[in-house]
Amino acid sequence: MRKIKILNLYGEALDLNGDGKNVTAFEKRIAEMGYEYETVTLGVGDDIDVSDYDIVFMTHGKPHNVSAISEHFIKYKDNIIDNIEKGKTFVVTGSSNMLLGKSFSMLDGKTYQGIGLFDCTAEEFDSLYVSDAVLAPKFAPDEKMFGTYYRCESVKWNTPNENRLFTVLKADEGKGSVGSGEGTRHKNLFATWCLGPVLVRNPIMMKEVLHSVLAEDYRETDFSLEEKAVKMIVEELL
Amino acid sequence: MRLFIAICVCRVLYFIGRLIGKGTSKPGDIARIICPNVLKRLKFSGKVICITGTNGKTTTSNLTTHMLRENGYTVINNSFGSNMLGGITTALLTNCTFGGEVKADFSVLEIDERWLRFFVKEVTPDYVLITNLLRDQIVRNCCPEIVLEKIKLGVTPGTTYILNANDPVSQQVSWGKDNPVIWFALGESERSTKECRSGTNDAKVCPRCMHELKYNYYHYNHVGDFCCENCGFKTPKADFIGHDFDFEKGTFKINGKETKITFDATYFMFNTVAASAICCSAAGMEMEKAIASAESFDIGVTKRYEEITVLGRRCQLILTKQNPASIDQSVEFVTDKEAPRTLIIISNNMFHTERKDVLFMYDVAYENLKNVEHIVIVGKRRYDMAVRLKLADIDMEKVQICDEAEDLRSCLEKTEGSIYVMTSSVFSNEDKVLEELKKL
Repeated sequence: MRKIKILNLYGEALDLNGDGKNVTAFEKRIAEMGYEYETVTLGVGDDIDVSDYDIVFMTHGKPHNVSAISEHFIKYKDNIIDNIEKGKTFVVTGSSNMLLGKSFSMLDGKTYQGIGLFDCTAEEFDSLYVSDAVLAPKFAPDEKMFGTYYRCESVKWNTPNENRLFTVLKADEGKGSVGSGEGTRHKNLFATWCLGPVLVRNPIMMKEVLHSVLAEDYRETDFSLEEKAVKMIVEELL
Repeated sequence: MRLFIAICVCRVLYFIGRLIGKGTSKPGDIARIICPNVLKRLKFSGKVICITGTNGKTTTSNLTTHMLRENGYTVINNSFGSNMLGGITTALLTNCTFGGEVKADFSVLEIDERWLRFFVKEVTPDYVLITNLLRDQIVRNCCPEIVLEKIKLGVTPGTTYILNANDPVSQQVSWGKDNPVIWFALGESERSTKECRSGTNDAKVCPRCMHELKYNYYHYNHVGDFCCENCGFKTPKADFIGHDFDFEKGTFKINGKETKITFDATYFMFNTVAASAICCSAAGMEMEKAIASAESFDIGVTKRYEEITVLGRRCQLILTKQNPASIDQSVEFVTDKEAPRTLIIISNNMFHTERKDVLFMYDVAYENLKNVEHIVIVGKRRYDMAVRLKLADIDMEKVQICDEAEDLRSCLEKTEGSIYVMTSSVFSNEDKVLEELKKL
């Protein structure tokens, strides 16, 4: 029986607003499909080799924690970029995106380095950017997803539009322009500033991630409850 | 003259407001326009004690006030209203002389954790007590560390901090500061757990070095007895500690002195130890007198857990705050009850903003509801709650999704046992559900 190896990278330090439940939901789908899984959580003090895993999760974390782990993370820059380029599945949500960019500066006045995969910089500010959003994934443009943004970083993100993960269909007034892109899809890297249980609540994205890991081994499971929930919320917003 | 006018206007507006049932912030806000920095001009004849934190600040503030008054001290507090600058200003200006003298032995002020830094620009407190810092209202607060940073901006020289030794987050307020610190804590009890049973733990890693933070036991969330093996960060030795819990007899001890458990909840025992720490430190009260006065405090259980009859069955309303720790406590409240139980979860958009995100649901340990026999979900976000319960491995056969409040009767008729309603004053549209329930 196929066994899926899952890496929850910095899962102890980066676990804010239910992001960790994306890993739980992924595990459950793998089990429902009849496969085994093994989840490993690595953190500061551990050696990292992402080639050992089928999928890597990096979830949303507190600004302090993201900056505190950057020094450890960039030691593995080559290993991480090499595996992303080879097609390893990565799911990156919320503030973890800062670690994939060039650098980010925080309220403590310090600038921290990322691995430079994205042409992206971020700056923490003393207020929250908050918005509900309806998104259309580039990989399924006729579908609609629900996203939540809470962040205290101003982001300069220069990803080409064709590499965007989503198109924003609706956001709170003054919070992102309709029709603009959000997130990045690079091979099997799914990176979004949406946070929380993105995969749990959006079956279309969960299926895409599962396909990227399982390919022809993908099997159908029941998403009817999740589909009804996201349909209701999207209809209320549009 | 400005001070005098501000005090007069504040009192008149407060009096009118009480007659027409308005809030208590506005009189203070207007007084602050008339006389900016009005609090700076007040003369306090007694000590100023500020109580802040995520959960428990209202109860701790009211309990402290009660204990001090029972022991003959005069106390001003803001228990009647807002805990932001306007409400605090109203409380002080309606209780001072027209010359601005606050003639009380103690001013015990509950302050919103984000507003303390503004208050201390005008008044230097003698004591600041922080009950805890937990995840709360992420739209406003993001995470506890963001609130911590705001509190740290208000640390004033000369103020003594009374801090929770079991909370690795809030105690960081003392890092790098020379302020005296008094520590309070609860020791291990039969209810302490080796694993965190709450939905969130904000201190899985050490805040100093990011290595794993190990716990000898948890009380709730990240509150417990902890130690980092990498850098040595650990629970400080408590000056005031609750210990030797006897839940059958209904007693525990604070620093060796036995007291009654007047409300059987871990967080309330924390509040009692914290209030005792204030009374013994700030007033020099003997512990025996402090705990004797605490025993006569009424926490207002009947308001928090209102009981009604629904379909001839006992139905208890459980008010929760808009934070995961509070909802976790409500979950625990239900799971501790005798079977069979029916739980109604009212799941709605966020109050005030009507925001549709339900991230907080994923920070609550709904997994602990596995043994509850029947669950009925109502409200705008009912399907989102159903998705959350499914992820928590709740048997969906026992979950009913009630699309209309009017359908509650038919849903409840398929259930048995006492009914518990998890409701909140901070979510919208709940009145309609409660009205329907009260009709049944």
